[in-house]
Amino acid sequence: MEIVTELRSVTKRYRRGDELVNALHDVSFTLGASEMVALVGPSGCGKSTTLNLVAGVDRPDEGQVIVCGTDLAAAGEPALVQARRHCIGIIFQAFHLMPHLTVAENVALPLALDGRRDPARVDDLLRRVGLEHRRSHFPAELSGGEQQRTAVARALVHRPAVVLADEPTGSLDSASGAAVLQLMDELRRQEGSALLLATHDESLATLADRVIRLRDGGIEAVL
Amino acid sequence: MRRGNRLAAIALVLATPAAAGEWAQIVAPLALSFPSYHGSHPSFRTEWWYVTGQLAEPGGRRYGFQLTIFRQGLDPSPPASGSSALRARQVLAGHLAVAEVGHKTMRFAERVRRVAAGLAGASENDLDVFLDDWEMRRLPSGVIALVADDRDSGLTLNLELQPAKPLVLHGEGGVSRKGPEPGNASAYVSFTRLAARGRLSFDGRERAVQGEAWFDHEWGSSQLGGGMMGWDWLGLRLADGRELMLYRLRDATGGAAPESAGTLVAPDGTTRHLVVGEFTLEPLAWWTSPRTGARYPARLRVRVSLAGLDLEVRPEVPDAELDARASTGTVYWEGPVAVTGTATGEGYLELTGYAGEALTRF
Amino acid sequence: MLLRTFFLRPVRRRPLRFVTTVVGVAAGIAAVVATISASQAAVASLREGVAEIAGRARLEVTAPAGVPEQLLGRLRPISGDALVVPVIEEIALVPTLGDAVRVLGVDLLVDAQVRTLELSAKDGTPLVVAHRMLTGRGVLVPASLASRLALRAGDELAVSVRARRETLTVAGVFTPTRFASAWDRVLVVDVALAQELFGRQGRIDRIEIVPRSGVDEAGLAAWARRLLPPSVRVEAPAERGAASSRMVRALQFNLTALSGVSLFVGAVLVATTLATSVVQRRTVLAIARSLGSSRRQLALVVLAEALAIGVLGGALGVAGGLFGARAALASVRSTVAAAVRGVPATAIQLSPSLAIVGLLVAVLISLAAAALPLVEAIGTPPVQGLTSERPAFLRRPSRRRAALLAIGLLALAAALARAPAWHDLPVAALLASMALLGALLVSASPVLDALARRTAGPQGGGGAGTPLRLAVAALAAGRRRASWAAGAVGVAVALAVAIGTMVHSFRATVVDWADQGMRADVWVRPLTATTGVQVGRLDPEVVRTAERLFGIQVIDPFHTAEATMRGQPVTLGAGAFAVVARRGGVSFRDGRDSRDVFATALRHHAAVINEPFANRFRVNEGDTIRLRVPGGELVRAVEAVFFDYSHQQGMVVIDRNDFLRIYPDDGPSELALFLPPGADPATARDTLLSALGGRFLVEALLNKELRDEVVRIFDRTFAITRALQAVAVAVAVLAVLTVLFALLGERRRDLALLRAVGGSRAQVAAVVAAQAALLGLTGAVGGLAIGLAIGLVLVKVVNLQSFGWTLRFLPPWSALAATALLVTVACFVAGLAPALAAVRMHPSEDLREEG
Repeated sequence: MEIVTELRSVTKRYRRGDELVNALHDVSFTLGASEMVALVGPSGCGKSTTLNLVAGVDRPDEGQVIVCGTDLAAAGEPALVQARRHCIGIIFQAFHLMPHLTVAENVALPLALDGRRDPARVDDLLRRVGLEHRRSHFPAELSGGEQQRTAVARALVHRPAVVLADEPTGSLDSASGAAVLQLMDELRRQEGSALLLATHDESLATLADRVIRLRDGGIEAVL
Repeated sequence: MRRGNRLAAIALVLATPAAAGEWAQIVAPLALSFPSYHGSHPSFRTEWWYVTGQLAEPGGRRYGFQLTIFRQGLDPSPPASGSSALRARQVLAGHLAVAEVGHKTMRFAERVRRVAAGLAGASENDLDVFLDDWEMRRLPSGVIALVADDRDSGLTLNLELQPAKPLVLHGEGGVSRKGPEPGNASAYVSFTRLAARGRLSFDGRERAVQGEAWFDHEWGSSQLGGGMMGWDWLGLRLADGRELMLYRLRDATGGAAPESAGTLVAPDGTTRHLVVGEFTLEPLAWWTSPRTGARYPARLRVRVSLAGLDLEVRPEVPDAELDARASTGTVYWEGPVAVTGTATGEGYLELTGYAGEALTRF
Repeated sequence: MLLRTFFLRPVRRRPLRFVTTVVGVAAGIAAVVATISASQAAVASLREGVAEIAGRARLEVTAPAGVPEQLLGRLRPISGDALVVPVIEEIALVPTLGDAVRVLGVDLLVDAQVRTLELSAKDGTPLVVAHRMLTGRGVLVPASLASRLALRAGDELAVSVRARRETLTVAGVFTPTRFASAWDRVLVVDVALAQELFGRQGRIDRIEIVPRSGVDEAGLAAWARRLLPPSVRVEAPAERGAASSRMVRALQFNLTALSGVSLFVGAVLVATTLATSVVQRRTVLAIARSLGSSRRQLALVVLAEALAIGVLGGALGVAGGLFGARAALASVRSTVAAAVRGVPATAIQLSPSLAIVGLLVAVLISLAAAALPLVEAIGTPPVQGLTSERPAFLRRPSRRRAALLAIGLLALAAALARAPAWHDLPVAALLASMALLGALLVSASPVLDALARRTAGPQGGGGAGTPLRLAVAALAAGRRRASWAAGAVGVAVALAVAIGTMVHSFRATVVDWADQGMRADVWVRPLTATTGVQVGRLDPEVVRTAERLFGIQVIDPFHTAEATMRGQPVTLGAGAFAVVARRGGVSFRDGRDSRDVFATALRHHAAVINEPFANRFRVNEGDTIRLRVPGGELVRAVEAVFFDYSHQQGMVVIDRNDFLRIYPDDGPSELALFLPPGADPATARDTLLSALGGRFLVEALLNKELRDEVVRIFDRTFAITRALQAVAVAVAVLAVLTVLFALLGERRRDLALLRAVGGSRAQVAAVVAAQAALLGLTGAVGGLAIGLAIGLVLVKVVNLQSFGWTLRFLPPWSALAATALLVTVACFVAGLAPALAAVRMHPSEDLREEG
């Protein structure tokens, strides 16, 4: 299986007051193409830190984070931008849609930032997440589930190799949460994207090919 | 030469460029021509008309009064072409003082003006002097009219003075020597006794008054010799019809200078010139001014043996110190006195040069 | 606690935003304080000059050509009730100082009781000094001037009087007990010496009457009037002060109005910032309310912030204004000196009341500006604050309402601009300007809305377009704040454009006028102060010398004197009509050839009047005017009205021969020399100067030199106006900076997200910078349009109403375009700072989950 993401002995420290805290300590794992891996563990175990490192919005203190063949730990800003534009899609717990852009514009944003236009692709994804009738609405006019479906479409629009989802159902009721997760998994399978899911909810992890249990910044178990 | 005024003269003289050579000098007995004799003599540097006297209301309240107008010449040379008519060639200063004997209080007012543009002036033809709205004028009848008022001190003086005795020429034919140098002399004439009648107001309350007065007129250019500290002057009108004028010039040691002199006027108006040694002035007590700290003789023993006079002169108002620094630049004591001893009477006493500061400054 | 959390903490964490707001308020306040105190200093020095130098005088005896000195004696009867004091007030130049001084000729014997001049004790008692002054050429020098020129009693002091070098002797040094500034350019001499110096023998400027205590003034005035001939006036000095300050009033009013506008801009800026800062913390405030904060507590937070901004900005503004005033004074000083005969003071003293008012205004404006966000903060239900904001397009009714309001304001402005002056002050016209600014503010919102709508539409593509679109979308989302910012920029630009237009129109008109009207080859005038203020007159001997050298037919001496028209002071001028009739050059309102005008006027003994006179008294060509002059009335037909941009005061010009029959020959204020064709002006000047020898301190200017000087004086006069223009631009930039920082804070998460979904740093920076440029551009375009309208009002209405000058409307197009561009660029540059901040943001932190 092709490896789309690999963490090699990654350590990340934060300064908390005068004290250095290990958010991650010597963590290594791989993510194969089209594979779904769930990172589970209690709050503060290092899930979000791992996702931030893979998204290239944060850098490790030690080790390598290889995404689509680029070591993000060593890459310059342009390479990071390229990785985010072509290789990574992100879904947040709080949706994080641009409030002043319509649903369609939000979905098209990653393409637009790359200077690309692909209305057909945007329409296709909107249809597939069931929001074609909402395309001209603004995020504030949508329900939570609809917002997160928009975010799913946005995360996939540029055909990323890896989709990162950080507690994607955390802000939703259980029914919408399950529906969104279902949709997310379905779509990324169709698109052939790998999914790295961070959640504290063990039940969500049942969909995953592998589950990595984190505790205090280290891998406790791989199931 | 007389008194407080002299200090003023010095002040003004020092303040102006010395051109003494051009001022006329009193050197010989004067050729007197009346009435212009009573008028102004602008070719001399200093001149004053000095009236003092005692007044009483019909009810009995008694007052002493003084009205003096000083003339100070500043520039003896003729006006340069193009010079302003407002140029001060002479200055007039006026002192008005009224003593309320019963209250032992004194009110004082002063004025100073340049002789120009009708603000102040003195006629050369007869006694006709004005300074703001103060006036001293000899009427055709020979009566001398005095008008002076001052709002700040609340004084108004309106008097007519009728000479009761002929004009007195002091010294030798009116030439009164004041120093050793030629020119150290002044022309000095007096009406030593005048009947006074008129009105006196205090803060607008007018009172009819009458009494007797003394009128001096003196002028010269460089009367005083050097080294003088001041002088004591008195003019007494005795009940026996005589008048006595004495001045003692004090030198640096406080002793009487040789030019100290006096005049004794008999009831008929004949005069006797008194020279130093013919009279004595002896302080019996002293009074210290609370304002200036100056110490003035308060009671005097006056003896003129040849006239059989042994008098005690007593101020009727102890605090008669006048602060005239705004007009003539002087501080002096001048007030009414009562006379007892071998004769009784009244008069005025003037003490200058005791407020040391004023003297040293000028 | 609440304060610390919601006010102090944010201030500490984002000090720049707070600082820019404070600076914004300070800029507005500083502009107002600077202009007011500078013009106040100038006006106050005139008033103090009247009040203080007039001493305790309650009544003054004056006459148009001076009071005959004999009248002093006529007042002797009242001298028991009042001090009667002769005064001459004139101007001389002290060459070693390079500046003009007021020469006060008094009678120190009496004056000591009127004016409190503390004489230095080492110079002797007042009486001694007074006597020293009575003869000779003694002068009393104020201590400040004495120390500056290192003068002591006995030293000589050279002054230039009537262009003649005169040497005075310092008789003493005095320290004025009050109003030192009123005295620090005053030399005191004896009234007789003053008469001799200024050739005023026989006359004095005025007799001051100082009542003694307890004297009824009205009775005294009546008594004095009975004693004096009817040709002289007996009046309170305040009336004279009022007459002279009337001339300064218009100027002061305009300066204050202009600075008021910059205060307005400052207010808009504060409102913007406060509004933004509240909205920015809307979530926090909503949480606080959810947790049980009362509305009162939140209001307290918002008001506390406003108060802090107001107090700090006010204090800074007052301090800054003081510095500004010092700088502005030179400009105001020459303007005032041009307007009134007199030497304004040099020192700025901040009046405590102005400081308090400045501080108070700052606080009030801040609090008023806080009202809007306050309503928003306490009116927002807690839950709504927590949900994210909808991008708000204006609904049709609001758009219509805004449009109607803007149109209404424009119509109001048009109506006000046509209204007549109010008490000689262009109040209505300035209100019209305010209405125009209001229209600008009102329309900012719909304009931004329309801009956002145009770009909204279907998703556009292309890398370059995306940041712009995002910027527009962001502006639309924060439209309320953005429109305030655009409005602030617009107001600032409008102000700058209006002022620029006015100054340019004015300058171009004046340059044309000078080129056309100034035809003489050589001008001779008394040596001027370094400030350019002309000091006094030329000695008649100068005229005689010039006439001997060049012939009477080429010499045009110009005399001026005071006269009154309908009780108001005017200038009566006189020139050699026969000479000007041959050479001409003056521009007349009706376009007639000036040679023809002067020839006709000479023949018919008619007068020509300047435009301010014509406007002030509503007199036209062919009318007859009656002036009060010494010895009666001067009746003249008006032959023509000439343009005159060098005087605000009304002026009537008659032939010199007629003039000298009324007024004594004190010498002309200047002298023009018209050389025959082919003669070399420089040679003529040298000939004249060498004939005058060293006896006179005169300046002889060639044609071009004088015209250059006119422009130089003009520029100096308008320096303060230009400074205001700079303040306006600075405020505009600050407005943009403040708003951008606020919008940036509000959009932090969006910008971080942009990074996370593939936006490069450059793209994020571009979004922010584009917002700045858009704000700047919107403001600049709107401001340009409104500014031109205000400029038109200033040029055509305000100037005419307050100065009586007709100007052409000549906007400096290229400079205006440059200003608009500059403001846009400045805004863009101002946006770089927040853009840079945006780039430095760490996406991971801003995207950290809250839930």
